[in-house]
Amino acid sequence: MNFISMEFLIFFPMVLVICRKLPARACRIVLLIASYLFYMNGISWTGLLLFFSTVISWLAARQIERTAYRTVKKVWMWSVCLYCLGCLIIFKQEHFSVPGISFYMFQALSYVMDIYDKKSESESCFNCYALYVSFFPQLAAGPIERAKDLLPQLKKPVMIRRNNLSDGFWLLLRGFFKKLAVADYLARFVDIVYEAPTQAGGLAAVVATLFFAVQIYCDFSGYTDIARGAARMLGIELMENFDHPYRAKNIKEFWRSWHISLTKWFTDYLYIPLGGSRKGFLRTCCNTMTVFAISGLWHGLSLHYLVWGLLHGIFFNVFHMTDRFRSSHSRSSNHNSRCCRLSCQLMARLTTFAAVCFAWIFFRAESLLDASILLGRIFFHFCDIHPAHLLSFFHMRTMDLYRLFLVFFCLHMLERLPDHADRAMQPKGTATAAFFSFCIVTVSVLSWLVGLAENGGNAFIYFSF
Amino acid sequence: MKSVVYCCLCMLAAEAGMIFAFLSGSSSEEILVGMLALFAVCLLYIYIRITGGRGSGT
Repeated sequence: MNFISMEFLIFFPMVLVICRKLPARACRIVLLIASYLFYMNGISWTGLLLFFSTVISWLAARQIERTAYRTVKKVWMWSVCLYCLGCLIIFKQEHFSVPGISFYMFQALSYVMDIYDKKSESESCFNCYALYVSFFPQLAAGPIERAKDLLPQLKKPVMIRRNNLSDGFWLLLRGFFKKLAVADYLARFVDIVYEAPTQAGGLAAVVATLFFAVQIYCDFSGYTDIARGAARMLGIELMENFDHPYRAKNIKEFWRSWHISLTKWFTDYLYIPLGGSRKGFLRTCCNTMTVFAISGLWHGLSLHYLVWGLLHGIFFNVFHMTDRFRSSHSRSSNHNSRCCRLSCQLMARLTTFAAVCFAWIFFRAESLLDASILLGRIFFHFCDIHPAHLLSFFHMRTMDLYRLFLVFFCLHMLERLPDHADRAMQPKGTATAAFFSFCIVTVSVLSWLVGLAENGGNAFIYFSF
Repeated sequence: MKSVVYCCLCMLAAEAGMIFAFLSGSSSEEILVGMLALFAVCLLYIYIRITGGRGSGT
């Protein structure tokens, strides 16, 4: 089930009302059933795969904890790893894709590996564990939660409190605005270029890529906001997945603030076991490249995702190689004026953003060939479409320019407000909150209707991963 | 109480504006731009009230 659908707008309030009315202990079962209904949405075999994966990982974790033999533990752990890897390879094929499989497989895998490493204890209650794997707000596109953070919250009786409802609603509204008013609107301009790369000039390709950078951020962080908001309304706190990634001053900072849960997963379960940065410079570079290559393939088994991952690996390694030079340079420039430091920071931010956008070309393109065509257009046919004709190329009218400006302005302001409604709205909270909700709901609904009338709406990008 | 009344008046005015725009033949996209402008003003107001006009420091 998509968050942006009438089904969800009926389904979620029903779950909230049922959980509020039922005794706290019964709510866990209701949430589990609701999670499977949300996930299956008419396709029953995906639910079976989810259930089967849950049973296998739960049984393996129990066996790992019970047995005293190191070899047996290892066999169970590797069996689960191979099972998850096999499922990911089979069910991530382009024509046989299962929504959200990468997210819940990684969640189950992290649980088993934590038990194997004795970082946490296995869960005896199967229902609790099944809810941990399938909890519907974060099932389809994360955040990839750790058992030690989410399980204790799920085991507590579900308590729906008034301040959680208002805070969660605030996040839901922010998520809907990002998705409907920003991401879906920009998608229409991005699609014009990326669906027919041979017809686009270089300037149009650059503009579309910049729009895509904002689109994917709003799409994914909008999803995360909705997921966190829905969970918070149910009294469960999910981790933050984004922390203003485009303000990063280098690629390391970018990965600390973009898809944080996946970055942490790869760091803890792949980078560190490979040796991390403890085994010399060359090995560190190899480990980084391996992690980013796998991170690319995690998004889809296609060459363009692999190249996207490898590009980020190269950026990361270049950052490491130049680290010493930059730190000595920053020490010497400590005495420079504030203005000089600010301009250096701005340059660093712009360079990082440019590098990230360059990699987005490979991520968004349908294939490696399309990406190379677009790069060819950018570098050798930059002004094929004259800047004056750019508006007609994107089918933009004057009204679109106003809309673009307002959408970017509202997004910028919204990003500066705190995560909690009470902090944002005090004092005179009720009136401001009511008017804010009225505006954001109207804007989101109107954007949804305009989008539906024009192109039928878009699903979340990360649902397909 | 006064702020709640102001809020209701603002909402009514916005609703009336939207209905008037719709009846006078404006497209849904034009109404959306109008609402976006109103939302931008609302966000600016909240932002200035939180930071006291000094900026958030972020």
